[in-house]
Amino acid sequence: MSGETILEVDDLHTHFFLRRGVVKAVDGVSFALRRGEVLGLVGESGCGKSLTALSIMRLLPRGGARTIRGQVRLNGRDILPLSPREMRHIRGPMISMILQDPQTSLNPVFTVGNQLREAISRRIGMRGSGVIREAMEALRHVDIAAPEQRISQYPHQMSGGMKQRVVGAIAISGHPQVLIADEPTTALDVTVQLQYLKLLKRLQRETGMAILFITHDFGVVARMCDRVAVMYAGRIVECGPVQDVFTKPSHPYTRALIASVPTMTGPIGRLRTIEGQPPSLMDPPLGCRFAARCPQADQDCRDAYPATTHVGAEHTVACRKAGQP
Amino acid sequence: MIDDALLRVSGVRKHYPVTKGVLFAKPVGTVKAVDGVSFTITAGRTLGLVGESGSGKTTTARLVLNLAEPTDGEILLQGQPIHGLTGQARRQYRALVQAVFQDPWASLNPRMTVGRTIAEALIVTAWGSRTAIAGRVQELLEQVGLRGEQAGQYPHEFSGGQRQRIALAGALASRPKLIVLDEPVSALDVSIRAQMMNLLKDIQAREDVAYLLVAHDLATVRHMTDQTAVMYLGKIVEYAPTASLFRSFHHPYTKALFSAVLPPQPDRRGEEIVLTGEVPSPLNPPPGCAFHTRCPFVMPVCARREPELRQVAPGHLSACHLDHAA
Repeated sequence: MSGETILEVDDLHTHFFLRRGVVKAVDGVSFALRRGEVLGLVGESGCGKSLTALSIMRLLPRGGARTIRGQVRLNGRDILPLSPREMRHIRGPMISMILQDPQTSLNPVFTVGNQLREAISRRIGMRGSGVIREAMEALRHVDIAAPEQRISQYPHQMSGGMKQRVVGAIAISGHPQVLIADEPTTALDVTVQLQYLKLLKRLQRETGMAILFITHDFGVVARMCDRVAVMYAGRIVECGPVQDVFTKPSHPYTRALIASVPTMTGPIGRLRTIEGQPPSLMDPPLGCRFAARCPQADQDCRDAYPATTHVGAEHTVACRKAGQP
Repeated sequence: MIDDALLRVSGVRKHYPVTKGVLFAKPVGTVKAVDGVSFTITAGRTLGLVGESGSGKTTTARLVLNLAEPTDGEILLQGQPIHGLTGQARRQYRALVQAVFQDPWASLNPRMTVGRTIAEALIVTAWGSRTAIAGRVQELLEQVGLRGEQAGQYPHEFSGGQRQRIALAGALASRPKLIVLDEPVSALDVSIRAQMMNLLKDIQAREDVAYLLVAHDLATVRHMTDQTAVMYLGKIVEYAPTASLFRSFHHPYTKALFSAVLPPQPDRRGEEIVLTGEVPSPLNPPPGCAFHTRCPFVMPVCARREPELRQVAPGHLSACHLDHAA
């Protein structure tokens, strides 16, 4: 699936400007999302993965977050300088988002039909029975049985999995070319998670949209993604096809992270851990941000941030020791 | 025969009446949150309770913690019934059975130093003098991998993983025999999760404390427990030594749970059973086997008669008509 690039994030810097200092939460993130692919963005809490998504959507939280440098090119056009009004025409038909908690994504005082119709009528520019038909079709499309009844229900009358389906239906109602899914299954039960992932995969195949899939779960990455980018302390440290990154993880952080996941097979013993904590992003180290926790780090690693190098045709890593045992 | 069980739960039910109206509330139904659950926990060992939301695993944990009275059935700790305790006996029970909950951000009082939070259990049981308590707090902090001098700090100065360690230190203060762990690692990051799991195992080995681990993640259960009970809609559907369960599981629901686990390796897709729909409401559980509405192997008998837990391998119980058909 090596199609053309549809979304390109280039040297993105989004910082929080707080009274006590500047938190460099996203600090030089670059990646490309290709047409029709699923790219995983994986990392632990606080690594900047969600803020990267919100920067792309131009939906930064209030309270001092600002994108201060970089470009986000959608179909070759930088969307960061666009006015809020212009952005409203981009969100929906071009790029859309699913958040973790369906409870907070839906408005509790409107029926799901109401919320779905609003999204649909904005796209096709009409109201009335045509929109209702389309809304019903959209619900059927996300495997909701008996849509004629569900359409007049309120969010609280639905289960978590069903609400997240409705959120999905709204997100893709504008036929976006790019969908950002930020931990869409974290709040769901495991058997429901599997249903939802299968649904997303089917929708992606049918519509040909590209998905930026944000998660902390390597199992979900293995199941859903074509390529994966690993984030640590505000930067991408490794990126490549899922197969390569899982079988030949080249960054010590990726290696340690994969090794620390408890497994369903193999010996049961002590789990591998990563000692220490991620650095403060208010005052990140000059060199490699993982150096303080890395068993292979030397003085060079601490002195300067490592360049990103190729370890495979499409597999890149930001580590001086890459390729060394 | 000597009863070697630390905790014995037999035939426990917890039903909540559902009413309509405010002033003259009429009962309109019953939520059978826990509906006839039995298991035992051996001293120093770990039992895992696995299930999805609505399975009753948290209600079961609350019953064991004596935070709720069972509608029916009995829970014995070291042979003594735990419900209906008052005064001194109740306080003693609280000292013997402790808990660590899922959310490390909600379980510590933000206005108390962590030392004070840990000391709380010691103070209410008049454990010792002020200096003795301070010494014990330091010892507990060190036991969970923190530094003794951190006792004077407030919760906001700690990360999620450290807070969970502090909650564990508090639970250990009264030297309990049993700690109920309700999703103790699911709010933690992957790398921190492994540290916490290792710590829990170390502490068990050192203190000989038993755990009741409530979890939804099967890999966590595999690494942490000796016995596993799989719950669905208020009932245990499969109950087995963990090693036996992970070697061969019997109940179709357990099968579905296992196939929903996504291994962190590409191209490692086993047989996949994707269930349709979600867990039905415990207000109106389906008749017969509660799982029959979603079961891929459903037979006519399943809707009529509820299957009993029966032995399918040594010490391995499963409640499914399929196992007894042959």
